[in-house]
Amino acid sequence: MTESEKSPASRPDRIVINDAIWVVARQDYVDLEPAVKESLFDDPQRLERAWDLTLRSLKREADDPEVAVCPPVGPADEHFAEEPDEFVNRYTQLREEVSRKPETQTVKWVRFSAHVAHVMSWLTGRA
Amino acid sequence: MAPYAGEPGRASVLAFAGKCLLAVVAVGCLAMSLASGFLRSSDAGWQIWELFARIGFALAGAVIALVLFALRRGQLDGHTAAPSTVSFPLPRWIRATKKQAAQRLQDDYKQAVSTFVELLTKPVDHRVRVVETIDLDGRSMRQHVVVEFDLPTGREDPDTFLYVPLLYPRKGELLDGFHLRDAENNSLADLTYEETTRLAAAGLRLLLANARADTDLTADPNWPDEKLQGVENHLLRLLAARGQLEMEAARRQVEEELVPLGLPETAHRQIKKYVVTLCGTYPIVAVVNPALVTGGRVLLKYERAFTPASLSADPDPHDRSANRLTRVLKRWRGLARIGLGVQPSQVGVGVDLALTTASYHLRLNAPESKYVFEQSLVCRHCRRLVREQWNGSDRTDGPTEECRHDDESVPQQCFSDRHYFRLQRRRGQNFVHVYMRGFGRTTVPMEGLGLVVRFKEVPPGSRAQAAVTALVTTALIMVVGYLISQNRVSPESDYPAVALALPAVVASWFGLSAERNALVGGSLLARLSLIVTGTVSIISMMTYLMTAPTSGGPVTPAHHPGWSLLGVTETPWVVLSILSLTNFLYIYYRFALKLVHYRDLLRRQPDRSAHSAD
Ligand SMILES: [Zn+2]
Ligand SMILES: [Zn+2]
Repeated sequence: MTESEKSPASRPDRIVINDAIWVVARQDYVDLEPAVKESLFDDPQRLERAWDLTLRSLKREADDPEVAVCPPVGPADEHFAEEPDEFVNRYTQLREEVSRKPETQTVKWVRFSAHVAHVMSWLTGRA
Repeated sequence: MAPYAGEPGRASVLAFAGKCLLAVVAVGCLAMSLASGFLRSSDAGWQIWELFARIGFALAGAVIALVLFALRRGQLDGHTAAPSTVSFPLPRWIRATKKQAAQRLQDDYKQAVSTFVELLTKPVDHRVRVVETIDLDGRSMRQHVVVEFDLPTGREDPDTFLYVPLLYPRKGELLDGFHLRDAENNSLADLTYEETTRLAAAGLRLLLANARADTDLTADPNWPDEKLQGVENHLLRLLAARGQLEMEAARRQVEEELVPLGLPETAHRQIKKYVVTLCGTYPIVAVVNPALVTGGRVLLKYERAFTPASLSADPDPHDRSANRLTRVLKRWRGLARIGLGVQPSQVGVGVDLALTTASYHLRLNAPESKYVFEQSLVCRHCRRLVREQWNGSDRTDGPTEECRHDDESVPQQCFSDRHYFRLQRRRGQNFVHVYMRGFGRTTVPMEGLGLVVRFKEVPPGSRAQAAVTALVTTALIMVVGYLISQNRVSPESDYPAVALALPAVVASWFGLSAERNALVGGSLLARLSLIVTGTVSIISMMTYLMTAPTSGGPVTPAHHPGWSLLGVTETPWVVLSILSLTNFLYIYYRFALKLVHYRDLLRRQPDRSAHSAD
């Protein structure tokens, strides 16, 4: 409190947050992909052709008897069963590759505390 | 089985019984440490042994209590860290979705689907202005956002409805108290998850067709071939996945799916952006009546509630400026706020919406009883103040690994096409107004910028309350001390005791009644001062009851050491008077400081330009 009541001229180039603070947790997705410049509306004729192709191909596939035997959509979760397949395995593998990061000091401390908590819970028979 | 399953097995019942037993033992130990005479014997040294035993009991009780506390805390931490699972839809569900999309699509959906794709892949170009207001009134935080869209030109049919993706909540997050409205505040409909997925499937097919829509090729009756359909289905499974995906992995998988297709560079970029965005978010898509669009512009609004998280007593990992003692003290200040029930006076808000628009306004409203004391636009990761010459950077050698900015010095004159921000100058107002432009157009988005604001109470506020309470207490203590010193208290009189206890009652009532219904808290110092006042008042009452004259004459004979404080000569009363006076003078001094600061703010001349360091 005292340093903030000093003259504003001596303001540092960064702030220190050590007091309590409300954080408005934003659960919005922030797109980190670079912006694209191309637009579907750049060429109206091309868009017209693309739309025709879209509609025509989708309608044709819908008439395909092989797809038509597909069961009707029931409760959504029924269709989200995790099923080991090549596609899912690839994602899981990529996720593991990506999330492997060098251990920081904080991570080491957290790991150590977790270990201590584990030993204590074992001692008291909670585990 | 995971610990969240909450199945009360035999083991957990045993563990619970064990903990109860430990708690009983701890209480017993602590009680023994207060007892005396339990080792009385004929031995001469029994008192020493008993002292050791009591210390031993106290230590044992404290250790057991700490262990129980640590266990409970570990358990609570475990509850918050639920695992985030990602589940992918089955291939047949994807096929059914595509089929349903095909059945519902009509010729006149062209506008709706292509606008959806365009707004999703180029948000910044079409969200011309976003005005966000966050209200901190009352117990909750409410967010109101107005988005002005400049719809893609070339809409030849002005009668078809539009699908406008309005906000992008991360997958797996729930929207609380959400309302969607048009400019006239009429409620608008938004698409369900299944509808959005069908729309996304149609949009993806449109993008793939567009990549291939050269005049002579469109007649191909066998397009898309099996390979392309396989890729499309994989991309749809990825974007329809539930739960929070690891974005870097999703990005790589999209890339790996697209590369074998050998699409033109521009189409590749477009499709990748589209799919990756839908991997990270379920967009809220508003169904917009064409009558709402004027001159290609449409205004949409939404509001929702936020659950604020109090981040407290969390040592700042980058704080190297202060020494260790200062850091520890600051940390305790955060803990004291929580312990004493004083809400945080600081608020941190991310300004990530600035990355989705050309021009962004944020207004943060506090209750009328508060004013803005400090306001800074900072990088949330390194907590440096944002500078206009900062540029987006995805290098990891910045101040911290997560930082997405670097200090690129650019001459100040040429910022017309660059990003730019302004904070409204502080003049005693209860809100913060930030204006940011161009942050959505930097080559690398500068993720992680945020606004940190500290509010204080408009005087008089709780510091004045505390100062008055301290003053009254000081006066009472000195009067009673004076009367006792001068032997002018009638024996067996209870009135002084009642009078001395009164400030404690008043202080606790102030402490409890203050700021019950406010999110932004008042002064921690005032609360501490009230506690000191209450404590001194109780001690002085007890002192009075133990030393006051009885009908048999004064308990202690009046002695005169030759020095006095305004006629108070009894040492306990001199000490209590000095304590109470110090408390009053300090809180009054801090109150006066704040008063002067607030007056200076009010006196400031109107000035339209101001930097964050103002
Ligand atoms: Zn504004
Ligand atoms: Zn940073």
